[in-house]
Amino acid sequence: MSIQKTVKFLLCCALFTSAAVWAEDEQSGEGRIEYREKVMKVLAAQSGAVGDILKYKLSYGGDILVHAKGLQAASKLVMPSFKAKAMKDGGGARAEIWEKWEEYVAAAKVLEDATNELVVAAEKGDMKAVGAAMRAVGGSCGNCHRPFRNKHDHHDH
Amino acid sequence: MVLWGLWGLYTAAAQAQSPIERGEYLFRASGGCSCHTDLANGGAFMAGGRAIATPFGSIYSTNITPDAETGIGRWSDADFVRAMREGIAPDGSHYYPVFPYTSFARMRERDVLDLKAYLFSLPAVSKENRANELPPPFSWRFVLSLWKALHFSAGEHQADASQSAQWNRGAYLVEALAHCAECHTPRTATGGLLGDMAFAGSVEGPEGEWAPNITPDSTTGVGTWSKPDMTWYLQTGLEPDGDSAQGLMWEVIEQGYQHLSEEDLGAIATYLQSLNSIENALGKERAAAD
Repeated sequence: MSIQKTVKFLLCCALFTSAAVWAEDEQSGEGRIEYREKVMKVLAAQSGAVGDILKYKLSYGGDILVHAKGLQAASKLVMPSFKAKAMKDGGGARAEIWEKWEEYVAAAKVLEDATNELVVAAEKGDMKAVGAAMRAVGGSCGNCHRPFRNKHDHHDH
Repeated sequence: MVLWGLWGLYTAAAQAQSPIERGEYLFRASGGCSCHTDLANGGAFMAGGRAIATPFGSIYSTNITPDAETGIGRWSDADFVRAMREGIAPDGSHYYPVFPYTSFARMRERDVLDLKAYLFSLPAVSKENRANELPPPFSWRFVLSLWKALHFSAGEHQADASQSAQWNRGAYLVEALAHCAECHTPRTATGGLLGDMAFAGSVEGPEGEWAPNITPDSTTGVGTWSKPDMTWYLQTGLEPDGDSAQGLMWEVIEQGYQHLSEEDLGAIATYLQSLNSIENALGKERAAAD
């Protein structure tokens, strides 16, 4: 076997092994919950940033569009991140997500639509519309959390 | 005096509205009476039928649309005022305190009548009230007169002259209309509010939900929240860390509080920040209860 063929063979083995390991991780759900939590934290951080600018009337009004686009992008990751069922004791995800998948997808879509509206309002620089859009974003969070998220045990409101 | 004058200017606009418009605002301030709509089952607006789980059994909210046969369409002003401020039905029976007349008792009579004007402007829905699912002795309504003797005091909210107009407005909204204490205060074994733990949170909130500590305690309450944080939360349901309101709290924000003026939300925040700080970690309370 030439060196070139040996390298090709080893590369194929490596790819096959990686794919097998990847598939195993996908099946066990390991890392999936942690990933989802990070997606949620991105959403929370971006909406929190817009909230800070609005409620304290900070001079970063121009940055709202950046956060709005961040929220819009992250909102599109929500539904895909839940496609495979993965739960843990004491975790936030309820089985209803997968039992009522179509309803869950619809609820996630409401968030996407709300962030789209937020981006439109931010592009216009219309702070009143941004405020209204943020109310809709907050609403979409609450409306999805109520049926699909366990109430968390920490200091929640 | 100057502050009261300024507040008078602010409220002048509200006074220029019709009773129905004022009533709608008060309806929002009360959290949108969301218990009276069976949202989960697609129930008609304010037509009742929603199950409210309590430690004593399930109570079903009533039809408060102006339907003459099944709702409150035949109620007089006096009937409505007595129900709201004394917890007594037109037939003389006592209401269960899951209907928070214990807080609404603090409302001004004019506000109560404006609220009635709004409710009577809604479409009438014919829907029979559903019987509660309570075992004896909780199903015996006469027992409620004893409960009232222990836990209920009538009387309109009284302003505190030593406080600002904004504080007083906030006190009225929190104590009477928004009825915050009803969920956020732990209860005694007989279902009365634990006065010395007012607003310190409860693990036995409505529908079995936790209602968090909203006193200014910095570790277990909302002591780290600024006034704008509170206003923003009541407008959007979004907490300072970007997380969202849960359960019934989201409902009362969506149906009610987010429709209030920024001035009124600021007044609510001012009052809540002035409460006694009480350390009460709900996790510990639940562990003890379990």
